[in-house]
Amino acid sequence: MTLNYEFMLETFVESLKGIPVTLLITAISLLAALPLGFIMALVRDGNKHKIAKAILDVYASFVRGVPMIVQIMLMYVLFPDILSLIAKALHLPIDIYGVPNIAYAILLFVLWTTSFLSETFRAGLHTVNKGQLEAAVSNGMTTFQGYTRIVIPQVLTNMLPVLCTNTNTLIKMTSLCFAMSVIEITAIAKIAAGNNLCYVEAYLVTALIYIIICFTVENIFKFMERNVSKKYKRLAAG
Amino acid sequence: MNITDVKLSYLIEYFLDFIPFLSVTLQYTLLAMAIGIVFGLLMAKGKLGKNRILKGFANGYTAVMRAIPSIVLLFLVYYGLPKIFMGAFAINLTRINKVYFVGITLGLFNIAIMSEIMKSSYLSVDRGQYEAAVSNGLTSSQAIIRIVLPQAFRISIPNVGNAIITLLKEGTLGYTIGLIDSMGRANQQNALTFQNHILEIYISLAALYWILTILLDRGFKAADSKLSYSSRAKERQTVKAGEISKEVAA
Repeated sequence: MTLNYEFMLETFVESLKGIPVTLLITAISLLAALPLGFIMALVRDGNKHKIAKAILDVYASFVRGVPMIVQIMLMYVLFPDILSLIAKALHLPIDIYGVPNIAYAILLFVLWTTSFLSETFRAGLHTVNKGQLEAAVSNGMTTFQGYTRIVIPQVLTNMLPVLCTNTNTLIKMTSLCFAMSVIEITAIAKIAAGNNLCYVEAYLVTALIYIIICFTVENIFKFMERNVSKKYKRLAAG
Repeated sequence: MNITDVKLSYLIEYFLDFIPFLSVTLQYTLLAMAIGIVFGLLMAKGKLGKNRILKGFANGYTAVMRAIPSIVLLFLVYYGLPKIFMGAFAINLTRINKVYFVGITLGLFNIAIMSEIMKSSYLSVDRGQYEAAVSNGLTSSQAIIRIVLPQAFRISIPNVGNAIITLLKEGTLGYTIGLIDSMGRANQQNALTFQNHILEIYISLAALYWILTILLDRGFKAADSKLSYSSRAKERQTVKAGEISKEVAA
């Protein structure tokens, strides 16, 4: 078995153009889902909003239970539908066919990541003692301050290793965006492979690019962990 | 096609139509689990052992498998494996059932997953158990087989359940290489109906997987709580209490 190295080099350079798209979807999903997922975790763990809790539980079960590709196929049909219904009801002049596919992809991934991270945060919230929030509130902070200044920093610190795994899962999941005709790393390789009939070479290159991205992300998270634990040691030392 | 036009009769029709294709899902999941258990055990042994080369290989394999998207590995296996077999053994694999390609791809991932599960559940059994068994006269292998492994197996049940659910979900990607499982069947139906029932088809497909994973989840949770140490201890206690109350009554 011989490989077409020239083609591999070309595809590698070509695939690099897809990295911004992959990272854009990942970054927006993470940035939006971090606060949203935290709120979702709080609602699902609390007893205050019974109806919202029931709806979110069903939603989380859906996201966990249905394969991502099926979700993508379903939402790819549903989102434009819902959008057109909303536009009609509110008399908004939106051109449904003008919305780029990547917008639907980002919307789907934000929703997916929110539910995905809420599971992580639920586990994380249990690692921080409830008394800490009560102490913060009884010391005169508002509940919001108690969460943002006392609870969330600790949850995030505890969750860093899991967040790293989740980020990698998310990056890998974005490879399914080809089903929504979003041109990212996998889609570029797929097109190049089909045009040149060099399937193995193209996907070897894609695998390599994903490995590089995921290892970089892992190292960034490791660096963050080290820094955070250093900071805590300094704080503990006074 | 609009969301307001979804017909319940079609939903039920397609749902029933997809159910027989779950046998394909079962096939690749079983193949992947078999590969994962056999080679995962070897990998876990490598990770826990003292041999540095084996350890490095096992850890490296796991790290790489964590970084490759399933769709990319599936394409690599689907296009690469026949090439390798053709070049090395002159065996033509292009005509074999596609379910094997999906099973092997999932199996490659599953080796990494299962080895991690086996390693962590083996390590979570208290070292004192092994020492107690050995000091009671069991040989080292007896202690591991009779004392440590049964406990490790019990600890691993929730994780294995999650692994199986992940496998059968990832396997839906098999449609990209032309495998006809329930996802492939959905696309077939889409083509047959000229995309007119696309919403009904995907809603029934999502419902099928949703119900399946919920049932599996429940099953594994039930198995876990049934086998967990605390519930068995409780059972023993209630039996004892029953005996005592019988004695008192007598």
